[in-house]
Amino acid sequence: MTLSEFYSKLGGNCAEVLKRIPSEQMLKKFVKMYQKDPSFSQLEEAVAQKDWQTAFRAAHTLKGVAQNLGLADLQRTASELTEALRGAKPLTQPELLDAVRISQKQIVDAMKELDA
Amino acid sequence: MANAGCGTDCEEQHVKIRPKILIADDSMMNRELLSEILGDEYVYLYAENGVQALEVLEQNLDVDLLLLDINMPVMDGFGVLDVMKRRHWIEELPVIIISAEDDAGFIQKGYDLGATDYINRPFNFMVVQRRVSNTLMLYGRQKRLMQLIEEQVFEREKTNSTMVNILSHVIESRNNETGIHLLHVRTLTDLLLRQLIKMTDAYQLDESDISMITTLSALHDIGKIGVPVEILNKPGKLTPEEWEIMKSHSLIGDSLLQSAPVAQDDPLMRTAHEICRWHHERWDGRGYPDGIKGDEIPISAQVVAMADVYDALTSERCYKRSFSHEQAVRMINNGECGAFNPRLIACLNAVAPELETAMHQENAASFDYQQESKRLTTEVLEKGEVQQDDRAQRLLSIEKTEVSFFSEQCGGIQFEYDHWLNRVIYTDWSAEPAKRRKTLYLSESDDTGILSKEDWARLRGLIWNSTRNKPDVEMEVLISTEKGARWHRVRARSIWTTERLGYAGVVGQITDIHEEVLARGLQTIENQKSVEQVYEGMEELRKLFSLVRLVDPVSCKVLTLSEDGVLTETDECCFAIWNRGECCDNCSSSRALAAENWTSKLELQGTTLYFVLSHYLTVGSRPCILEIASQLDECFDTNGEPAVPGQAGTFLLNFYRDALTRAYSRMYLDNFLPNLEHADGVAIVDVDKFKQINDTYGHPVGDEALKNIAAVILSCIRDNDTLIRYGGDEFLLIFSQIGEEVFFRRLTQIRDAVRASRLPSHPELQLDISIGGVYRVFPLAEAIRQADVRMYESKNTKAKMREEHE
Repeated sequence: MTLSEFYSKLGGNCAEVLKRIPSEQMLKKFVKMYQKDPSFSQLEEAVAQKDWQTAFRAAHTLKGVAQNLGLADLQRTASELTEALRGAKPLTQPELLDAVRISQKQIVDAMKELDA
Repeated sequence: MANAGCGTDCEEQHVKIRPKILIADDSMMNRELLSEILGDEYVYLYAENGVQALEVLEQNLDVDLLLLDINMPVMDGFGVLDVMKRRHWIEELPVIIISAEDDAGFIQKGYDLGATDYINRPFNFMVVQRRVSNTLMLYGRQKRLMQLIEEQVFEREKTNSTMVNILSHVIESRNNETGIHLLHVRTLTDLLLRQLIKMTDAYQLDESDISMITTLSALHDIGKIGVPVEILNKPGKLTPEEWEIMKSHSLIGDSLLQSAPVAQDDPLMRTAHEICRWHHERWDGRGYPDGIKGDEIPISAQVVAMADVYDALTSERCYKRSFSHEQAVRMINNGECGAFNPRLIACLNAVAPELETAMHQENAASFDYQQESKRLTTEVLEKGEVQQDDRAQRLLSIEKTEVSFFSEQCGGIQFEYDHWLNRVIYTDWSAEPAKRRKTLYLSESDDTGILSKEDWARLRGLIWNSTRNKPDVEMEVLISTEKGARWHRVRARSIWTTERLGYAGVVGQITDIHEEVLARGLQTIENQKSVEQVYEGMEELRKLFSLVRLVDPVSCKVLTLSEDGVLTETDECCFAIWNRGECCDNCSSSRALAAENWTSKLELQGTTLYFVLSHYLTVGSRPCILEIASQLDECFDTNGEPAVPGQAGTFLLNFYRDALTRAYSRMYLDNFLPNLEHADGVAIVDVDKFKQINDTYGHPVGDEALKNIAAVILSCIRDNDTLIRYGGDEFLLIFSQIGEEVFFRRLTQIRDAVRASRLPSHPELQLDISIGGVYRVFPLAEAIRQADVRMYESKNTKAKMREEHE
């Protein structure tokens, strides 16, 4: 899968991102770096422990990372979750977290098919 | 932890050329993205939260730019900006905010706090690069230089010299002089040197020499650590032998410095040697230790000598009264007190009019560092010397070594408290090297480390009342050590900012004075020669302590001593007073007999705690033990304020009571575990929604609630039951002997009583507690654990019910 196909699969636009980050090589490097990013697991962990302050921060970070990488689906779902958790509010709409999980899974799956 | 990005040491050349950027962002991705985007034109440092960012800045004064994320754990970006602003860092160090917040208010707030620019997410390659390079351009080279000088030389020097001062002060305190003496000498040294360079350029002194000599003046008497206290504090005239010992302090100081593990040929070290060795030399060659004369005596030592003499004359000492400023100047002019360089006498006369006021205003902080650094910057720029940061670094590292050297000599525990970070760093010189340093963030936990929370509060109170002119505070505390509770003296000095913002922090030293306290309180008896005098001494002590008696440790009988010196053995057993049928396990008297010295222990009588001192002595020819016990609670009146200040009061510090709730403290539990081990009923009490009360009504109301709840519980329990404040809002209840049914009924009564109670200030506030109790579970630790589990179960059930209800 090319980088462009990767992005369209995840609701993003590769060409748009390349306006901000001019080298495709570098963008690919950043995208691959995402696999090491702990924000998603931190989010899951914090929600499980009902630590809403940390959950908010993790969702917020995840949103920022998605925004930087142009991962549009994740950016949208993470953003909605961030707003729901803002002020360390307990999560009352579990479907918001499920949406983030789906975005995350799609990214992880697509990453496997991405050209080296 | 924060780590330096690229190799910093191996590529020193590059480090100087490439600007240093600190990236503070909790997301690893973002940190890597930013450094990737900005490329290898820069050197990177990283921090994952606000406190770390401040620490990196503290340790790397050459950071050129801070990229700051707002949402971070521990301390957020606004918190960082706030501290930077208060420390005046923001004026020298540009900050670019990284923000995913589209909210304009966020960015506005950042600007208000002094941020230079902001970068929005998603990162745009070009924008990030441009903003960073533009910002760095704006903060030009001269500005950087200024910053380097100001922060490296002066800010650091200020802290370090304060440390050198306080350490010298610890040594000097043996001399019964006030710590202010060092500050006086410092101020006068500075004034004289400045006058000297105005009048002559014979001595080739530049600004950094002056600042160095001024700082090092604090060390002039360090050799006095080697002179016995009896000689230092002798009020009368010294015998010729004693005088020789006294004079040896200049040589002792010199050799102390020689044993310091630092480069001896450094200018700084050389100056320190000069001052320590030769500050008692005289211009006419009749001084000591070497009898050198005229300008053979280094100018540093000449100036400090004059400053020392002037301050000695104008202060009261154990052997003399004080002279007025005019008298002192006249005496120095007339050669009545030493012989000085005529040039220096001229300097003294020139500064004399401003001297008196300067001495009364001065302290370490009034020295204008900002002004100084500007002066030094100009000097450096004019000379075209730019390698000054080498020198600053050297100055710094040597001072650090010096500080640690003197600290080691003094021993004890040192602490530094940073008011803005709310951080304490303890250095315990008695611990093994790896465990010496301990850093605590007070906002994160209630643990204040070595000092108990109450003592910490007391110390903060003293510090709060300290002023620029009287920055030193002192108090005596009981500290729990491996050897049991021991008396310590805390000496601290508040550090003040250049602005009138209040204090910036505290440096201090904690020394074990247990032996001293014991000796002091009991000297009365110690010096008695005859049996009658023992009687008189005991009568004296009875005024101070609730129990003073003589005991035969072999027969375990109490002895009486009559006024005319007749010693009689009574039928009373010494252990009867502690409600025991046999000799105490921890019998301090037999230990005292074995050691022929003082020993101490804590004893419980009913619910009252006693501090017992035992001292071996012979009355007539009979060996016996003098026992002195003081009730630890009696020093508090009904308001919980210490009622017996000084004297016995220092013994009677309320060590085991929680100052707020009057319940016992956790320390009590730790020290009396064996006495409580077989209690029937154990319960954990936790205040419901305590955090919410604090958050909604504020901490004073939270405190009031705790106080109220503790009072209600105390009113529901018997005298021989024990209430301990176990954690912030957690209490531990221990019922020594109680039936099972009564125990559980009592717990219900307590809960109902708390629910029914009202806070006078907020009657609308519904107080509630959760209790978990266990009956006859042993050992106590297990009982507490199980009670805790039950308490949580009850709390969860309640929460669930509330949820369903809603």
